[in-house]
Amino acid sequence: MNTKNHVNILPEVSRRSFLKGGLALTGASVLGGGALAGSALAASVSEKTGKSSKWVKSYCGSCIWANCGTEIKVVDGVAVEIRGNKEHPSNKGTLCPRGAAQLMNLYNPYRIKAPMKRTNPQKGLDVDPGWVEISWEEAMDTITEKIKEAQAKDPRKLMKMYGFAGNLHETPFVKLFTSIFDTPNYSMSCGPLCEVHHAPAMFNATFVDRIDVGHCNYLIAFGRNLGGSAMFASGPGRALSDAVDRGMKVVVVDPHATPDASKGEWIPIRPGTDTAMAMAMLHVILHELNTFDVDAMKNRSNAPYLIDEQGDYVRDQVSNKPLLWDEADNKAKAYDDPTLTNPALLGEYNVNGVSAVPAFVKLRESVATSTPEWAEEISSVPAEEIRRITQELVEAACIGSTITIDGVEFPYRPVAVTTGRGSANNMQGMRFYILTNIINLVLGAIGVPGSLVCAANARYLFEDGMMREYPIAYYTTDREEKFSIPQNDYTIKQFYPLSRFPILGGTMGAILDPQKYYLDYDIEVFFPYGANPFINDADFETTVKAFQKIPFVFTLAYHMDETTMFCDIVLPECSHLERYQNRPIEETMVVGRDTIALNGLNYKEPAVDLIYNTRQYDDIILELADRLGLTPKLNAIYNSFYRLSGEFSLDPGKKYTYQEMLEIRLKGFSGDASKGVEYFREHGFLMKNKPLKECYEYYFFKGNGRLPIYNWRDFSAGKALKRSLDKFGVKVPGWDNMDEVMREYTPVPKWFDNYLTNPSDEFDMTVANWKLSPRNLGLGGQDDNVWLREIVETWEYDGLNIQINPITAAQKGLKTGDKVIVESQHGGTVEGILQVTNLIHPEVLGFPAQAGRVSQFMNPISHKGPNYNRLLTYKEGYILADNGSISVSARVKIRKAGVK
Amino acid sequence: MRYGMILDLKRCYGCNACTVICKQKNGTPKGVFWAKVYATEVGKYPQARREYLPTLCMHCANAPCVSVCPTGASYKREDGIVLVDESKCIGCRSCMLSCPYEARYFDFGAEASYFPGKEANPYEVAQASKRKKGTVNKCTLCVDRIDEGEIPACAQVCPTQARIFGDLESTELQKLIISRNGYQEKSVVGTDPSVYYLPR
Amino acid sequence: MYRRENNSPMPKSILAVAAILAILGIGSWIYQLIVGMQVTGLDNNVVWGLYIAFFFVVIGGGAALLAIVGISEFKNILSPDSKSRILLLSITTFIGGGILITIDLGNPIQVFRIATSFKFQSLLVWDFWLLALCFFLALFYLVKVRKDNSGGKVYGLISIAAALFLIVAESFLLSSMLGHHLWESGMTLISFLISAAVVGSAFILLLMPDNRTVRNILLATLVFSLIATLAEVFTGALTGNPETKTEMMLLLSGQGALYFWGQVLIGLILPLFLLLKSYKPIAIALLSIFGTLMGKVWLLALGQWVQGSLVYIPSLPELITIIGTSGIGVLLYGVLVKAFEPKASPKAEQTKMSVA
Repeated sequence: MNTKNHVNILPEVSRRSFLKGGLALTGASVLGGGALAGSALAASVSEKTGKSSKWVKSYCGSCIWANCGTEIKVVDGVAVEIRGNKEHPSNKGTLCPRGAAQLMNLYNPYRIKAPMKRTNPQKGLDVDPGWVEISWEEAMDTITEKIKEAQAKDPRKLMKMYGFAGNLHETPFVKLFTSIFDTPNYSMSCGPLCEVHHAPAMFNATFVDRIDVGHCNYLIAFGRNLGGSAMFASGPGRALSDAVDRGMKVVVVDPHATPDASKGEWIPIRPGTDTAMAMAMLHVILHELNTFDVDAMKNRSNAPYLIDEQGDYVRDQVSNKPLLWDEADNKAKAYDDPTLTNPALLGEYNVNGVSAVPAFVKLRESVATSTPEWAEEISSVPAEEIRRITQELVEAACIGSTITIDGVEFPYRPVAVTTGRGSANNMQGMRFYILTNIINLVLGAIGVPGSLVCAANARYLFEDGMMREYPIAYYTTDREEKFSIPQNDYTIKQFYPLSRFPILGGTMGAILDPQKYYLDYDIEVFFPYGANPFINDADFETTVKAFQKIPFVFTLAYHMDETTMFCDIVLPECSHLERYQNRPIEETMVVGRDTIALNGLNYKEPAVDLIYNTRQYDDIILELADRLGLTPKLNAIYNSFYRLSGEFSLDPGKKYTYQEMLEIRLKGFSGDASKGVEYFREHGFLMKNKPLKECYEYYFFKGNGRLPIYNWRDFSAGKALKRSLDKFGVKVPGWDNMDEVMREYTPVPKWFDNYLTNPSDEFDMTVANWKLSPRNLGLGGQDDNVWLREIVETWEYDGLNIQINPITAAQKGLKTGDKVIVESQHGGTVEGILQVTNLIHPEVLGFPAQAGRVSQFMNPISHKGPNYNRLLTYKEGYILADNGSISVSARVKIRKAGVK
Repeated sequence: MRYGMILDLKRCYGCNACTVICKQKNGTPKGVFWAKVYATEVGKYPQARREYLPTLCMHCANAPCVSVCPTGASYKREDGIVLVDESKCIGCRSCMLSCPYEARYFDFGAEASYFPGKEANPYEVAQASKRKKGTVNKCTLCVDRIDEGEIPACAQVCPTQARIFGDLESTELQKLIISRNGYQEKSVVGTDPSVYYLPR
Repeated sequence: MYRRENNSPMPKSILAVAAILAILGIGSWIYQLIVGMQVTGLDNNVVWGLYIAFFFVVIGGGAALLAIVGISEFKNILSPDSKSRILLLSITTFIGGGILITIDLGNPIQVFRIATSFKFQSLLVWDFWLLALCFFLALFYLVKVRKDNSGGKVYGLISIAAALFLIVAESFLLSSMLGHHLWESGMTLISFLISAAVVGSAFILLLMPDNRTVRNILLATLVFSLIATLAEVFTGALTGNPETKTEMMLLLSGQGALYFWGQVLIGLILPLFLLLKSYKPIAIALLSIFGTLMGKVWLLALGQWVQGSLVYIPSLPELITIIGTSGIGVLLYGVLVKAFEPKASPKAEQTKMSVA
C-alpha cells in the first residue's frame, strides 16, 4: 500500500499556494480519497450481505449557508452515514458538527408524521391543541378556503412569517411568497436580532461582508464569529486556521473569550460600548498618529465632499452634483470634474455663498475629544490597549503598497476591523458597524485584498459619485414617496427607514392594536413557516397574544415547536434530506484563498424514501397557487427570480411539479441542456467560479464610486422620516422624545449614553450571548438533535450554563453549580446553572447558545437550559430607532434561586 | 508501516465535528465517544483563553490494553491499529483500567435508542449489529475505511484539517512531527502512542 | 471446660437463610445478564466495583487459609480436623472467587477463554492459573490431610508459596494498571497482604470462635491494618500531590467518607474494641471482613475516580448479588462439610485444644 495515499494533510505548498484563475484547490489534495470516490458513487450490492448500498450526493442543510457538499450512504433504503463530499470545493470532504449530526434530524421520532388539525380552540404555549390527524386533501381545502375568504375582503389580510427556526433559506418561494400571493404583509422572527446588513450594503455593496483572511495579517473582530468559534466547514474554519498558521494576528473585542480569541488576543469589553472604543481608535488614527490612506480618502471616499452647516452636501447649482474643493487651483468642482486633481481634505471654504468644510473635517472633529482615556471609562478597555492595537493595526495596513492579482494592481491593505451581531445588534450598533468600516476606509482597507470584501454577486449603482447598493437605493427617496397613513402594511418598516427586515415588535403590537399603528384592517390568515418568535425573539408574552388574536394560523413544520402550538392546521414537512432543492454556492463571512472565488450551485434530491406522510414547502406553494389560480403568475415570478429566459424557462401557462421546475432552473444556471438533474445527481454541484480580480469590488468601484466616511445618506433618511411624520402628524408608538430618535441618524460618529450603559443600582450586570459550534442559529433542528445536545452538554466547554467571572462570583458569594435566577431590567427572568470562568468580563453574565424550549411535543432534551431571549425586549421605545432591530443585551441582576 | 494521527492543536477550535461524525459513522451508543475533544480554560482574567485537546484511541505501539487482555481479544494489527475482537472479549474491563487515555468503553447494555421510550429509529436499527452487550469497544481508526483506501472519518470531517492521518513512519509525517515539536500525551508511561500532538 | 470448636454440621436454619439469599443473588445476576451491566453502579470511569472488591477480599482470605494450613506443617498449631475445615473453607472461597469473577464479566459465556489463551503477558491469566493452582492444592491437601492427617512439609511450603503468589498477583494486577496513581506504590501489596491476613484470621475465628491464638492474630492484623490504612490516607491527605490530596479528602470528608469511616470505625476500631472488651467472635469476624471489603471498595472507587464525577456507589442489584454470593458460599461450605464429615474422635480434639 502506498502510504502517501493515506495522508490527508494538504501539502505545505498547496495549503499556502496562491489561488490563481479562480481555480479552487480541489478535494484531490486530500490524499487518499479522490480516486476512490468515483467508484463509491455507483450503487452496489454486497455479495456478503446481499444488501444494496449506494452513496447519494447531496448538500448540507444544517445552517443558513448551505454550501457544503455531502454524500449520504443508503443501505437497503436506510441512510446510515453522511460525510462531506471530497470533490466539493467548499468543504473538501469536511463537515461541521451540525452537518455531521443530520441523520438524527432525519430519523427523529418527534417529527410530525401527518397533517394535523386543532380541536381545542384555545391557544397557548401550555395548552394542549387536541391534535387530530386529517388528510392532506382536507388540510389543503381548509387552508385554500380560509385564504380565499380573507383575500376576497382584502388581499392584505394574508400574512407570512419566516425565520431561523428549522428551515433553510434555500427555497425561492420564501422570498417570493408575498408577490405570488399578492400581500405586502410578512414578518421575520430572525430579523430583530440580525442587524448586520446595512453597513456591508453601504461599504461593500453586499448583504453580508466577508473577511479576506487569505491575505489579511491583522484582524480586529468586534462581537463577530470568525468561522472557528461557531464552526463553519464550508471554508471559514479552514481559512481562519490557514491564516492563523500563516501568522495573521487575531484580536477579538468581546465580553467573552471566544475560541477565535484563544488563537490570538482577547480584549474584554462592556456590551454596547463598542462605539466608544472605535471612536477612540479613530481618534488615535486621525489625531494622535495622523496616519491614514490619503489616496483612499481623496479618491475613494466622500471625505473631500463639501458639507454645509446643515450637514448636507454643497451641490453645484446647475448640475446638482456634490462639490469638492480642488487645492490645485483653489476651486470648487463637481466630484466628476475631469480637471479635479487634488481634492482638499482640510480647511474651510466659501462656496455658493455658504461656508463649507470637507467631510473629512467633520469626521475628524467628531472624534476630536474621544480619547482612549475617555473610551476606557465607558468601555472598560484600558486606554493603552486601545492605543496599542490601533497602532499595530495602522502599521500592519501597509498604506501605500500594492499587490497584483489577475493582472490588476490593487492597494494591499492586509488589515480589517470587522463587526458581528454581538456589536452591531446593539445600542448604536448600526452606527458602530459603519464606524468600523470608516476605520477600514480611512486605512484604505475595504474592497481590496486582505480587507473586508463583498460576498454576493454585488448589484449596485452610482449616485452623487457614491456607490450605492441596489436594495438600499430606496432608503431616502422611495420610502418618503410611499409613506402613507393609514399604513399599507404590517411590516412597520416605514417608521424605520434603515430597517432591512420587518419590525417584529411593531408587527405584533399592530396585530393587537391596529389603530395605534395607523392600520385600518386586520390580519385574518397567518402562515408562519420556519419561524419561531417565541424562542428566537424577545417578549414572547406579547407574541403569544398576537398569535392568539389571528383567526386562522397554519404552518408547515418539521416538529411540534412552539409556533405550532398556535396553529389551526399543521402540515408535516420533509426533513432536508428528503427534499428536492438547489442552493447557490458562495462563501460568506470569512474567505481564504481557496474559497474566495467560489461560485456555483448545489443540488439535492431525497436520499431516502419519505419516512412519514410529509411534503416539502415548495410543493405546498405550487398547490396553493394552483388552487388560487395563480400558477401563471408564479411561473413568471420564478422565471424572473432566476433570470430564466428562452429555452430554459417556465411556460407561464403550464403547471409544473417542483422537480420539473428545478430541472429548468439547473439548466438555466448551467446554460447547457446536458447539465440538468442527471448531471447534478451525479456530481451534486456545478461550479462557475468568479475571476479572482472580481472578488475585490475595488476592481469595479475604482474611479466610479466612492464610499462614505460621511454618512449623508442615512442622515437624509432620518430627515425624510421626520418630514413624513410631521406631514401626517403621527407619532410612532414609544417615540416620546423625537430628539432621541433623530440623533440615531447622525452622519458622523457620536456617542450617546443609553439604557444599557446607564449605571443602575439594581441591575448591576449586563448579559451577552453567542453561538456554539454544535448550536448556532437553531436551524436544522439543533435543539432536539440528540447527538448535538449530548455534545453540548458533555464536551462543549460553555455548555448550557450561565457564565460569571470569578471576581464577581466571589463578590456575590456564588459558585459553579449554583442554581441562579437572572432578572432583566425589562422584567424577564431566566433560571440556570452557574459556571465560574475567567473567559467572561466581570460585569457580564454569559449565556452560550440558546436553550429552554417549552413545547411539550418536542423531545424533552430540548427543554434544558435557559432561554436567553427572555431577558431582551422589543417593547415600544426599546426598538432601536433607526433600524428597528433590538439590543442583544440588557442590564440584569442575579441571585441564587430560592433566595429573595 | 505504522498508522497514526497527528493532531494540530493550533488548528483545533474544539468544534466537536470529529466527536459527532465518529458517533454517526460508528453508531456508538449514548455516552460513548471514541473521538472527543477535551476543553479547558487556562489563565486568569483577562489573560485567559480556551484550550482544546482532541483525542481518539492512541493505538499505542506498546499498547497496555493488548498486554493486559487475558483472552487476546484486544490485539494489534501489523499496521499498528489496535482493535478488539468482540467475539473473544469476556468483558473483564481490565483493558479499560490499563488504558491511560480513557479511550475504551464498555457496553453496559444501555438502551439502544437515543430516544427513551421510543422505538429505535431505522438508523439505530441498522447500526445495532455493531454493538455487543457486555464487551469493550473502542476507536478502530475506522479500519473499515482504511482497508477501503479511505481515511478515518474524524480526519476527513475536521473543518480546520487539524487531524492528519497517515503512516507515522513516512517522511512527511516524521518531518511534520519534528518541525513542529510534536509530542505524545503521557509519554512517560511508556505506551508510545501513535497519536502525536503539535503544540499551538 | 469444654470449648466449642464449631465443627458440627451447620445449623439448618443458617443453611435455609443462605439458600434464600443464594436464590435472590442468582436472580439478581440473571437480571444483570439480561439487562446488561447498566444495572450496576459501574460506568465507563469506574469499571471495577463491589464484585471485584469482594473477590479480592474472599480470595485473599482463602489464600491466607491455605497458607496457614501450610504453616501448620512446620508448627503444630492445627488439628487435622481443623486443617480439613480450613481447607474446606479455603476451597469454598476459591470457588466463590470464581463465581464473583464470572458475575463481574460482561460476556461470561466466553469465560473459558481465560483458560485457553495461555497469554502470560496478562496478569489476569496469571491470576486465573494461580487461583486454579491454589484451588487444586487445597483440594489435594484436603485429600492428603484426610488420609494422613498431614500434607507434609514440602506440600506445606508449596501451598504457602502459591497462596503468596496469588495475593501478589492480585495486588500487581491493580498496580500494573497505568494512570491509577493510587495503586502504583508498594502500599497496594502491603494492604493486600494485611487484608488477606485479616480476612484469613477472621475466617478461622468463624470456625474456631474460642481460639485465643486466632483471636490474638486477628487483633494484631487489625492493628496493622488500622495503622496501614490511616498511614496511607493521612499521608496522602497531608503530603500527597494535589490529585492524591483531593482523593484522600474525598475519603476523609467527601463522597467516599462512608467507605473510609465505615472501614475504620465499623471494620477496624469496633472489632478491636470488641476483641478487647466484650468478646463476640462471630460479630468480630464479620465486622473485620466487612471492614476489609470497605477498604477494597474505596481503593477501587478512588483509584478510578475522575475529577468532576461522583464517587462510585454500588447499585441494589450489585448488593443483592454480593449477599447472594455469600449465601452460595455458606451453602457450599455447608454442603462440603457434610460431604467431608469429620472422622475425628473427641480425643484428637482434646489434643488440639491443649495446643491452643
